[in-house]
Amino acid sequence: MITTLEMFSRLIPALWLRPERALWDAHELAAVGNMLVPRFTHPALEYGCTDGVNSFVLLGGLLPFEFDDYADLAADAAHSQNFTFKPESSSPDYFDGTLPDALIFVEKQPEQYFDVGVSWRRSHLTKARRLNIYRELIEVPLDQPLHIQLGLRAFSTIWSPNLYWTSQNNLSPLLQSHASMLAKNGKIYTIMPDQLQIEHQYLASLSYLPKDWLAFVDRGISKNLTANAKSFSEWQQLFQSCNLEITDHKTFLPSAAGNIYQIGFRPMFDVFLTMYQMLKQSSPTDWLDLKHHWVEVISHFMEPLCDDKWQTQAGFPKLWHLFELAHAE
Amino acid sequence: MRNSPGEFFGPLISALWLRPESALWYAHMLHAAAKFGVAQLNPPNLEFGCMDGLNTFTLFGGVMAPDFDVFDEVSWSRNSHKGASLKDDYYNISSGTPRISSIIHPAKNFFTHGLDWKQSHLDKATRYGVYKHLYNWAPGTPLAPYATHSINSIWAPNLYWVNDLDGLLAEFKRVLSTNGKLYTIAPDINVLDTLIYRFHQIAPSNWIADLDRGRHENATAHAKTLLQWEAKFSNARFSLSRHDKFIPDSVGRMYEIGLRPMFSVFMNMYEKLARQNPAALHELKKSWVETVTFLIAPFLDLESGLGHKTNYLWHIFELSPVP
Repeated sequence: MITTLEMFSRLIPALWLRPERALWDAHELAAVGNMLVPRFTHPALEYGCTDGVNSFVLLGGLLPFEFDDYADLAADAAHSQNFTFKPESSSPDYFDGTLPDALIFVEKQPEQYFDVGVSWRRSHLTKARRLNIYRELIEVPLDQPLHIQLGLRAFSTIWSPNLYWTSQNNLSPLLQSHASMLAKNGKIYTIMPDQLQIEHQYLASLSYLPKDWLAFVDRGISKNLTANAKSFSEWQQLFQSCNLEITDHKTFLPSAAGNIYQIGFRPMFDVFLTMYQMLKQSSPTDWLDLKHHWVEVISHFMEPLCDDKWQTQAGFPKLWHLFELAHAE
Repeated sequence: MRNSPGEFFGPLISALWLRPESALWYAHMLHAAAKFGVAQLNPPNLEFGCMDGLNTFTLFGGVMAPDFDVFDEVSWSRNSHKGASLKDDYYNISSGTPRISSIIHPAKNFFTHGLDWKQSHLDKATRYGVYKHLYNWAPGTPLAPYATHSINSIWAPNLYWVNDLDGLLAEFKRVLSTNGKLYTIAPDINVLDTLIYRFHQIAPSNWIADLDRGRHENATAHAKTLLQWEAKFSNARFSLSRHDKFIPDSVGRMYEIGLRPMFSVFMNMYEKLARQNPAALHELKKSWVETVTFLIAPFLDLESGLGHKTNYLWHIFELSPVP
């Protein structure tokens, strides 16, 4: 049984400037790690693999403390122009920058791997390639059904952590495409927001604030989290309409942790990246010492939010679903 | 004269950039004080609890250089984020170095007397030139240096830190002239609904304690309704001649955490950059202040929804001695 706390401690060195993301992902990966990983069979596909770090950690890999998501950004001079403060147009994908030749010396390589990883961003695939957990990485068009490209009934395991990003109109065709790619006895694992996510939008309580302020702080997160929010029975109906049935289910992400994710340190990210660059350039030793200190303090304050027990006792509902899906009988 | 929370926030965030929640709180407090005329009090006057003098320098229109801040004299360790109480004061340290060169525009006024109970604070307060005389007071003792009826006005922004409030009010009554005025601030009972400490029974208690750093003790000991405060002052033979409220609910909630938990880390970063690359530190400060100012701006605008749809958490009082 892997815990959220264990996942958090594995993720936070990589995501130290964005602890709210490490918290969210830790809740997700603990849920998935206890359901998908023991049942993992090949051939396996990850649909929306991003930079591969989450799956590397999910499969039991350990990255060195010095590794983080920001080395690519800090070293990518062209991309670093995005680090200046521009509230009126501040919506870059920070993580679209990459150093293609960078090598990562991992602490522990996972024993498992995905046969195929797909993403719609080349930079993500470049990064994912370095972690050596995908036999094949393929760039695909966003939101397009893939069964023609990847093969009918080709995969026994499909891990699809980013399906919820798609538009409402595309969700059904994409689920049908997933079903087409799934082997006869295969399983799809995916996460989706419950309708409670709509009620627990922290920024909605600040709706009287200026629109440009809300847009800068939100960066489109609220829309992503809520666009496909549904109750369990609504999800059940949608899956049925795609000839899929739920064979296992779990909820995750207590609302307190979910609320923290909605702001966290995100609005300060430009500033923290500037700090990161300055320290690393001035003294790599100082940079590493500060990272140790930062991770120690942020872990002290975030770790209680990894504990479901008190949050459940306090009545905080869980906002997200993890589904295991199979072909309907 | 500065007359909106935003006008006070600018100079405060430059000096307090690593602690924007403090700059936000003080900006609202100084705005409330300015509305009550605290920047032009009748002399001879006294500030009770003057701390390092920065707030009063700002209230009196002073301007410090852009590279000035309060973080070159901070007492922190790598474990400062754990087990702290009200006794742990990051700022209870002074190099003793005067920094008059940091003042671009001197304050337009001064207090005859400033009083505090920490020598380090008084050492720092000396530098701003806003007090003629400074006094290190031992809490619980009489206000010995001030003769009976010798003071015309008192500004007491830290009354709520004092345990023996009745004894202190009696001393204020003694030193104030018969037509004198006492100006002070105090928490409303509403403040208790915004404390992070209210979760200490449902969340891990040591976690809540480390977020709180003992601050709930002051609020719990002193938070009162307006009627309760009036009764308290009346018992001390003061009449309430003017009252208002400040600190919107959302500002109070933001102040409860802010960037406070990360302060030791930011101090570590500050000292590393100051040592290795001071020019980079100043660049970082510019970027930090710009971003934080954008983020805080709506919480300074009392004309917006913030001002109209909120409870206010703190009282400001003008009190007159009753013969």
